[in-house]
Amino acid sequence: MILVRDKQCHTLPNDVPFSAGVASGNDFQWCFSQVKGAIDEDVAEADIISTVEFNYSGELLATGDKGGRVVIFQHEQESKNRPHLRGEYNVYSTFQSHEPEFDYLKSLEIEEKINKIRWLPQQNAAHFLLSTNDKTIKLWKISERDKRAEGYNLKDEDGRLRDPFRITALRVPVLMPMDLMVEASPRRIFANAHTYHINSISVNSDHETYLSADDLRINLWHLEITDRSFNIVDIKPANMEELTEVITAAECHPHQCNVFVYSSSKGTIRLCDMRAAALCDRHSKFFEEPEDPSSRSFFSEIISSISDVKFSHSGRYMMTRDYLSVKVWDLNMENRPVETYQVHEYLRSKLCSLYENDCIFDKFECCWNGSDSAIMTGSYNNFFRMFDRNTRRDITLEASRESSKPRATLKPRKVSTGGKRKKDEISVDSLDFNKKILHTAWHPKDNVIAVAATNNLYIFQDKIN
Amino acid sequence: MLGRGVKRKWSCLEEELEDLPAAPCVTEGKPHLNVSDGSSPPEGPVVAPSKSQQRQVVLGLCLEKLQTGVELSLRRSVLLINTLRQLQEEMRSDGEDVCSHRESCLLRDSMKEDMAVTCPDCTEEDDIDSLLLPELSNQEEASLNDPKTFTAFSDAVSAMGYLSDLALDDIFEDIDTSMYESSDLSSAWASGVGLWDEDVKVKQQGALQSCISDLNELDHIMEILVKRGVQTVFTKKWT
Repeated sequence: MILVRDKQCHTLPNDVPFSAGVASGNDFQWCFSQVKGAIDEDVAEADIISTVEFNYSGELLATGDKGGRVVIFQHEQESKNRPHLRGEYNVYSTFQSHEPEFDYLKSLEIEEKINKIRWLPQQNAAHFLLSTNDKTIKLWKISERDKRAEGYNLKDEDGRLRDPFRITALRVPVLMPMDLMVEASPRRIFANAHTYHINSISVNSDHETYLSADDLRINLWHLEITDRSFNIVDIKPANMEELTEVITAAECHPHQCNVFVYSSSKGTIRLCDMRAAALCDRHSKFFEEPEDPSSRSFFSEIISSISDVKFSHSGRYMMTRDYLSVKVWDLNMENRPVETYQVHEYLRSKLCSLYENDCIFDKFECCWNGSDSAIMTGSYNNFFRMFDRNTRRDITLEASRESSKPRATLKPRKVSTGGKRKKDEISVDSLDFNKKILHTAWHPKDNVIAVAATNNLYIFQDKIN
Repeated sequence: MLGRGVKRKWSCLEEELEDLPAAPCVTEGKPHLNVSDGSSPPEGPVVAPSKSQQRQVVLGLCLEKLQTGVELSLRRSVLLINTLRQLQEEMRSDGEDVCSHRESCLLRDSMKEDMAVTCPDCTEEDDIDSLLLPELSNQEEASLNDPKTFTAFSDAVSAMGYLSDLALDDIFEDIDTSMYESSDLSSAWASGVGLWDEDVKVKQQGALQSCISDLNELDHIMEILVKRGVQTVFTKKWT
């Protein structure tokens, strides 16, 4: 069954609440919870958010920016008299993950921009995450310290060791409580394995290995070993003249540690089984939808390039995002997606100008909700879209300062597609293409979402009626 | 402008070029998009009557983007090159003007100069830049059809320089020192006109020689590369 949705066949009135996933049965609306980041009109390049990721419990939310920084937010503890704090997060830790570098051998500048963050499943009191820029992946440990040892007599106050002959007694230090300190320390640095730019990292379900993908190769690492990685995919042709395709994203299967997928600039997805061979040059499954000849244009290939691929939590489906649509694939059916949702079909007539201003190369990401019943992805004009897979409803919302009053309900937005523009509708020509939502994240267990709009992070939550 | 299917002579193209402001540059020759404004029909940019015009616009932009791309995104470059390829295919199947050998030779002469200008890039000449070779014959068609895109033609040559940047990673594993043997080169350079593809190869080598004639060792090439890299950083910083 193919479901094709676009704005034209969206017949629901605006006031029908959008229901999604976790709280199935209860209709709810989305409401504003918080916005992080400066209000300034002038946006510093370094402050632009380049990735957003909840950890497995949803208690922590990490963002990375173009300045190489990682900011971690922690969920505000709920209390009985303040139950509305569900979607409130406060800064927990900030650290500089990557610095700009220069590769002298290759004469290349290496940006500090954080391309991806992936959390590791929590195994003790500390939290671990992987962050990557174009070339280097780092494993960070985030831990708390609320006590310090006091009463040492072996060292001076400035930390120098005392002359042992002057020490006549041995004092046992005592642990004294102190203000909570959150420390982020780099535990492993995985460098020098990628010639091209890293676009994806993904922690494997064995919790011991992870993969990293660049434009032409995918490597498999052990989290403890930094001086060795295994090349599992290499699509670099012997003769670069023959290069017509690059890897755009890759992800490990959530349950089967031998399975991973990668998407390409030609709009295809390959599923590989690491049990088949050490080098997965031959895929096990190849997902591709035949092109519709009626919609062919100069830009067909560019807009079919996949910008993100994500497995559902169940591991049964995967979702891919191309320039105009998001598709859900059943892993058991390779010849076409089971669902296709149009994100901003009205841009099809604007492709030429989007090509001219380079927006057509924007890499939009997508995410699942906790129960795989709804999906979310971004658009232009600070709009983002949600699709409910059960009710087949879709909604367009906007991340904006104007509607950012506490617990204000988000008003559904509509873009007029040809003909007369109705009240409350925005015309395609007045969309702001500089305001784009590329990165979004959905809380793994709750209807709380994080939306990165340039240098601001918006957090929204559901409001049960 | 001549109608479709009418063969142009180099002389008439020259006249048209003289009508244009002297030494057309990228910005002057930059095509404008008529299809991007709100007045365009919602069916999309593919409108039958102006299809070949639009193709030229897209083509021109493609070349411009390949040349002026700031960040080295392989994905973007590959998508642009594939689009160029597709446009070429379409032009072929539409049976647009295919120029005569003499004309292409003349065009190649102008290309030679460009190659010399983009000399620092020539040292990095690698497998990727030949990617554009098939497209060059395509731009010949385009340039002969429309003098405006003539500038785009020389852009393509510079675009090759840009593309070769991408291949920096491979330069050390793929470098073929036999190319720098002067005896080989001078004979190839002297041989002049040949088949299209061979000819370009020769010219690349010729340009290569002109700027590294006295640099015979790999170390020197390295030096150039490192210098260039530093330059790029500076230009990036100050622009």
